[in-house]
Amino acid sequence: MEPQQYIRLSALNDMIHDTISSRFEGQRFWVLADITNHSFKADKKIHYFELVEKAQNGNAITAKMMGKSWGGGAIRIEEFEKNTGQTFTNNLHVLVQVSVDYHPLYGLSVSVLDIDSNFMLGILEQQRNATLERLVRENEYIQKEGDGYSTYNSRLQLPVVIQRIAVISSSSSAGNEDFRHTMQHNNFGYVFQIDDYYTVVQGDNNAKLFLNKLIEIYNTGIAYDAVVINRGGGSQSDFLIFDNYNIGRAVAKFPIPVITGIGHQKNVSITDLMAHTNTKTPTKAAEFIIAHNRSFELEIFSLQQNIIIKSQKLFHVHYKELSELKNDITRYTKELIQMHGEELTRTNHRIISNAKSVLYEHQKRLILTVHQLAQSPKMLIQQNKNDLVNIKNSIKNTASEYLRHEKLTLDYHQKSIQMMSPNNILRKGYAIVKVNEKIISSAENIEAGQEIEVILKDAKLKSTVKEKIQYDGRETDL
Amino acid sequence: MMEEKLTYEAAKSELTAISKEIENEEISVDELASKVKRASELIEFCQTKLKNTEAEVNKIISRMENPEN
Repeated sequence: MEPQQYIRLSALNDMIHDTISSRFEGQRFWVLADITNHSFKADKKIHYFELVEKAQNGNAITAKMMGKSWGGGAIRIEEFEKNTGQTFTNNLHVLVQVSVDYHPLYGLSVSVLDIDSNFMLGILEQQRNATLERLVRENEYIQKEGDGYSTYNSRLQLPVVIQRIAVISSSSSAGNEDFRHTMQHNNFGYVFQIDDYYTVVQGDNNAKLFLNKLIEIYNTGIAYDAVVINRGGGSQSDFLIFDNYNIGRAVAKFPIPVITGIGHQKNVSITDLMAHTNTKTPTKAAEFIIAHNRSFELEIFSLQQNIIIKSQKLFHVHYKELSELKNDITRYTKELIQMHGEELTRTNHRIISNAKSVLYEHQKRLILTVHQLAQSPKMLIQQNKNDLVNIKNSIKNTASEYLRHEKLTLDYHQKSIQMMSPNNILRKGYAIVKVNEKIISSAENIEAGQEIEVILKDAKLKSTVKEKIQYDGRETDL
Repeated sequence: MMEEKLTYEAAKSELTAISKEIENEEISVDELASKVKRASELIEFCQTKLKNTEAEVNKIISRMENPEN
C-alpha cells in the first residue's frame, strides 16, 4: 500500500478558508433567523449565540449557524435594544445583517453586523396587538373604545381625594424616589400614606412576581385609594413586562384604580392602556394625584367663594328689599295722611261755603221780611184810614139815603094809614057793623031779628036785622 | 317687643301686606298709626335679624377662610 498523500488539517482548513473567503469575502446578507444559546461577555461586549431556522409547522430546526457580534455589531445591538425595548436574547426572531466567516480553529460562523430595529418593532407591535386583541376577546370587562380601552379598572371612580396609596416599583427605582419626593413635598401640604410594594420590574419573566404583588396589595384589605405602578430609570428593555398579557388582565380587573407612571418614550404599554389613568413618568403620576386632590380643594374653595358671594348678594337683596319696604310704607303713609288732610280741607271748605250760603239765604230772607214788615203798618194804617173814610162816607150817604127813604116810607105809611083810617073809609061810603060792641066783618053769627049797630061817618045807627040774605059778595061791585 | 316665634319671612310678608294696604288706601286713618307703628317694629325686627345673621355668616366665613384661627 502506497503511502497516502495527505495534507495537514490546517492546510485543509486554510483551503476551506480560502474557498469561503473567495466566495463570501466582503459580502453581507440580511438573514431572517431566531436566536438561541445566547450569551454576552459584558467585559468584552461580545455576543455569542446561534442562529436557527425552525420548520414552518413545528419546532424542528432546519438550519443552524454559529453567530457572534462585537465591535460595531455589538453597538448596533445595543441601539436595537434601546430602540425596541427588547433585549437581544434567546427566542428572538430577528432580521440581521451578517458576514460569513471561517476560522481554522472555530469553524464556520456568521458575524452580526447590524440588526433591523424596525423589523423587531413590527414583530413587537404585532405581538402587542395580538395581546390586546386577546385581552378584549377573552375578558368581558375589557372593551375597545375608539383609540383606547375601557376596562373594569378604568371605569372605577377615583375617590375625590387620594390619600392612601400602594406603589409597585423596583426597590432601586430612581423614578420611585422622584414619585415619593414629589408627593411628600407638594405645594399644598397634602399628606399621603404611601406603602411600597417592591418587585422586580424587569423582563417578561418576572410577570409572575409582579402579579403576586398586585394580589398582595388586594389581600392586605387596606382600603387604598389608588395603586400606582412606577417604573423609571434603568434600561429601556425593562419595559416589555408591561405588555404582558397577565399583567394587563390583572390591572384591567383590579378593584382599586391603578395609576401608571411607567417611564417610556415609545407608545404606551398594555398595562397603561388597561389602567385607570396612565402618565408618562412616576413624577407625572405624583403630579396627577396632587392635581386630582387640588381640583377637589379648588372645588371646595369655589363652593366657599360661591357661598360668600351668594350670601353677600342675598344680604344685599334683603337689605334693599327692606329699605324699599320702609320707603314705600313711609311714602304711602305720608300720601295717605296728605290725602286725608286734603279731603278734610275740602270738606272744611265745603262746610264753610255751604254754611255761608245758608246764612246768606237766611239773611236775605230776613231782610226781605224786615223790609216787608216795615212796609205793612203804614199800609195798614192807610188802609184803615181809607176804610174809615169810606165807611164815614158810606155812613154819611147811607144815613141820608136811609132817612130820605124812611121819610118816604113814612110818608107812604102815613098816606096809607090815612087812607085806611076808618074815618076815611067811612067817608068813602063804607060803614062799620058792630054786634055787641064788637066789629064784625062777616054775617055768619048774625041772625034776623038781632040788634046791630051801623056806624057811619057822621052817625050811629041802631038797627034790627030784618032779613038775612046770602050772597057771593058781589054787592060791592057797585 | 316682637313675638318670639316671628320669622324673617313672616315679618317681611306682613310688611309687604301693610305696604300694599297703605298704597291701595285700604287702611282707615283710625288704624293708620297703629299699622305704621307695627310696620316700623317689623322693619326694626327684620334689620336686626338681617344684621345679626350677616354678622354670624361673616364670622363663619372668616373661620372658613382661616381654619387655623
